[in-house]
Amino acid sequence: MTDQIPIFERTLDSVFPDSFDITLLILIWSSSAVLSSTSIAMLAILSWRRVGNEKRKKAKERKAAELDIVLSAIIAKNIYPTHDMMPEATPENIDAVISVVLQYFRNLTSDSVTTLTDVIEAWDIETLIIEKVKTGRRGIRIQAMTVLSYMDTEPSIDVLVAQLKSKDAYIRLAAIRCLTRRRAFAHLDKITSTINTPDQKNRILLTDILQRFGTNGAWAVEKLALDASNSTIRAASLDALKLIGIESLSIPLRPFLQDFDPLVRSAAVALLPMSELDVFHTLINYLTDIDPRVRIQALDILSSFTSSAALLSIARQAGDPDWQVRYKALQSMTSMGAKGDAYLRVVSGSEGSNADIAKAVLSERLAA
Amino acid sequence: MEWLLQYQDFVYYLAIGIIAVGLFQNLVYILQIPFAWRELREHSQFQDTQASWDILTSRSNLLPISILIPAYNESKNIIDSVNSLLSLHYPDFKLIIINDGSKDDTLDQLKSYFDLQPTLRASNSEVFRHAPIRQVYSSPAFSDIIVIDKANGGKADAINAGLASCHTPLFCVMDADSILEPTALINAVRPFIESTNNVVAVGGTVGIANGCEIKNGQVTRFGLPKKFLPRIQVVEYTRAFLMSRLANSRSGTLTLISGAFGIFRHDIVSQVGGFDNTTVGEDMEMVIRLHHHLKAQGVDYEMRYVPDPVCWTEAPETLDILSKQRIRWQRGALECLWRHKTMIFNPKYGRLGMVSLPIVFIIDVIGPIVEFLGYLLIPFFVLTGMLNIHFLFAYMALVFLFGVFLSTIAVLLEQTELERFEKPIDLLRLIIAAFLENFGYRQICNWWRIKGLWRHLMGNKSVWEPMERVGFLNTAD
Repeated sequence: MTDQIPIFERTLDSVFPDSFDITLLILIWSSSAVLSSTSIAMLAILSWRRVGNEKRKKAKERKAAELDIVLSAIIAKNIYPTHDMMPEATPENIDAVISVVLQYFRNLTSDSVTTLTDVIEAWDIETLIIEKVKTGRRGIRIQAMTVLSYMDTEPSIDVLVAQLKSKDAYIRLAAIRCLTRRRAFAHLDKITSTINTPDQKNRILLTDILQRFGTNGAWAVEKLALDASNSTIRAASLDALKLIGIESLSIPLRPFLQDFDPLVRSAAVALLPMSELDVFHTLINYLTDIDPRVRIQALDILSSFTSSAALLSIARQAGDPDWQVRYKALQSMTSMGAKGDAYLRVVSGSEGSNADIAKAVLSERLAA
Repeated sequence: MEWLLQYQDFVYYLAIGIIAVGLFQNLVYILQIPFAWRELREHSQFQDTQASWDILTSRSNLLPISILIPAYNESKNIIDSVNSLLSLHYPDFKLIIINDGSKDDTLDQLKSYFDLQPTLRASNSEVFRHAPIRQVYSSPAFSDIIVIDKANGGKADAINAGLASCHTPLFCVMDADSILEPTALINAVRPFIESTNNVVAVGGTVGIANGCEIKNGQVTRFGLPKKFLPRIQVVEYTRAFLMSRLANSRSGTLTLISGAFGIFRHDIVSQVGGFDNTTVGEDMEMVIRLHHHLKAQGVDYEMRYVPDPVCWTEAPETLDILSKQRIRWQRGALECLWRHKTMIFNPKYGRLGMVSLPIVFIIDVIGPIVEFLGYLLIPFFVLTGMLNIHFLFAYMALVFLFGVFLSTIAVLLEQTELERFEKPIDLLRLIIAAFLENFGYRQICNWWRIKGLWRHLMGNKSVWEPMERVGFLNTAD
C-alpha cells in the first residue's frame, strides 16, 4: 500500500524517531545561508573601511616623507640637531618614525650613524621607541628593537635584555641579534642561556646569531658548545667559531670529534687546525667516518696540506662509495699543485664515472 | 516510480552519506580558517625583519641557491623569463636551465642570446637519475647561467638533471613560463633562517598574472583578469593558497609545494634520490616522499608556506586547456596517494598519516564522485518523493552557499592581511566571481576530476605536457 503515501509527506521518522535528521538538515542549510551572507557582509564592510584606511596610510606616508626630508638634510649638512628641528613624534606616528629611522640606520656609514643617534637623543623619542618594544605587533616591536641596537644608552640595553625573557621566540631571537650588534658582552651569559634550550633545531639560524659574537665573545660561544645538551647548538657553536675565525680553541675538541651527531663531528673536523691535536693524523681517521659529510669536511681541511702523504690520502678517497665525497676528493686535487693536476689528468683519461668528474673539475679550474 | 520505494532505506543512507561527505569537507575547510588566519597574521606582523635585511646585504652568505628551470618548447618566453630572473634581489644564486629535448628553438635562442659555450660540469647522475645529457653550456658574459641540454624525459627528469649539476645547499624549482617577484627568494628563504625548527622545504603563493601589468618580465601592477574564466581561478588560487596550504603549513601537514615555485634543501632531496619521473604529480610526490623519509628517520623537520605572492603564472583562458590542466592535477594527486598508500591512517606518520592524507583521500578521491552523485540523485529522489525536501536544501546549501562562504572568507583573509586587491571595484568583482564560481565552474571542475580519476584507474600513461599559453611578458607595451 505504499502508493497511498502522498509525495513530500514522507519523513524518515522510522530511522530517527525524533526527526533528528530533518533538524540536522535544516541546521545545515540555515547555518550555510547565515555564514555565506555574513561573510559577504564582512567583505563589504571591509571594502568600505578600506577607504578610511587609505587616508591613514596616506597620512603615514606624508609623515614618513616629511621626516625623510628633515633627516637627509641633517645628515647631509652634518649639523648637530636640536629638538625644534624635528617634526613632532607621538605614540600615534611613532611606527612611521621607527620605519624611516631604521631604513636610515641600515643604509648609513658609521659616521652618519653617530649623527643619527644624536638626532634621536635630541629628538627625545627613545622612550617612545622603548614603549614600542614592550607592546604591540611583533613586526614593529622587532623594528623598534633594531633601532635600539644602534643606540648607546643604558635604558635601551636594559629593554633589549628584558626581551630575552619574552614568551615569543621571534622576539627573543631579535633581542639576541640586537644585543650582539650592541656588543653587549656583559650580557653574553644571559644571551647564551636564552639560546641553550632543547627546542632549538635550526642550525643556520643559530650559527648566524653566534658568529655575531665576534672574537671578543668567542669565549661565550666555546662555553655554549661545551654546555649544550642539544647537538644542533653544539654544531652551530662550532660552525660559529669557525666563522668568527679564532686563532686557537681554548676548549678540548676531542669530545666533539667523538659526538654521536655527524654534524657536530663535521663541525669539529673543520676546527681541527685551531686545536691542540695532531691535525694530519686525526684527519686521516675521519676520512673513514661513517657519515659522508664528515669525510667531505676532512677532505676540505686535508686539501690545505700539500705533502705527498696528503695527496695519497685524498686520492684514496676518489674510490669512496659516495659521489659527493669522490667529487670533493677530485676537487681537492686542484689545490695540490702540479701533482694534483697530473693526477686529475690521469683520472680524466681513465674509464668510469670519476673520469667525467675529473674532466669537469679540470674544466672548472681552467675557467676560474 | 513505486518500484523505487523498495529501496527507500538504501536511498536514505545514500543521501545521508552524500550529505555527510559534503559536511565533512566543509568542516575541514572551516577548521582550516583559524590556522590560516593565524599564520597569515603572524606573517604580516613580520614584514621587515633583520633576517630579510641580512639576506639582502649578504650577511647570510650561508644560503646560496640554484634556480632550476625545466624548459620544454618555451622559445616564446624563455629569454624574457631568464632576463627577469637575472634581476632577482638575492646575493648569491645560479640559474640552471634544463632544455628537456625541446622540439622548437628554445636552445638556439638561449645559445645566441647568452653566447653560450660548451662546458663540462660535474654531475651526480648516480643519485639523480635522468635521461642522457647532450651538452652543458655556460655563458662567459653571464657567469650565473648554466644550460643543460638533454634528451626529453619530462619535467621531473629535467629537474633531476639540474639537481645532479647543482652544488648549492638550497635549490628552487620553478616553471619556465612563470614570473618570480624580485623579492621571491628573500621571502621564501626567510623560514630557513628565521624558524626555530629545521626547515627542509618552503613553498610560496602562486598568483595569476592574467590581468596584471607586466613590464620587462616583472609584474608592475596587480590587476584582475578581464576574462571570466581566469578571474574565477583568482578566487580559486586565493582559497587554495591562503587557506588550505597556509593552514597545512601551520599544522605541519603540508602535502603539496607547487611545482611552479618551491625551495628545497639539496641534501635532503638527495637522500630520497631526487624527483620521481614516473608521475605527473612530481611536486606533491616529492613532498609526501620527504615526509615519508624524514618521519622514518625520526628527524624533526618543518615544511613551510609563505603567503607572499612569490610567483606569477598564466591561468588557462579556455575550457579546453583548463580541462587538460585539471585532469593532470587530479591524476598526479591520485598517483601520489596510491604510491604512499601505506602512510594513510598510519599512526607512525603522525598528523600527516592520521589527518592530512585521509583528508586528501576524502576530498580528492571520494569527494568528486560523491558530489557528482549528489547533483544527480538528490534532486531526483526528492522529486520522486523518496526524500524530504530538506535533503535538497541541505545539499544545495553545502555545495553553493558554503562554497560562496569559503571563497569569500579566502578573499577576506587576503584583504585583512595582504591587501593585494587595491580597488574596491576589484573586490566587488571578486565577490561576484566567488558567488558565480559555484554555479557551473565548480561542477565542470568536478567532472574533470572524475575524468582524471577514471584515467588513473584505467592506467593510461601520464605525460608531462606544458600548458599552451598565450604568453604574457611585456603586457604593458
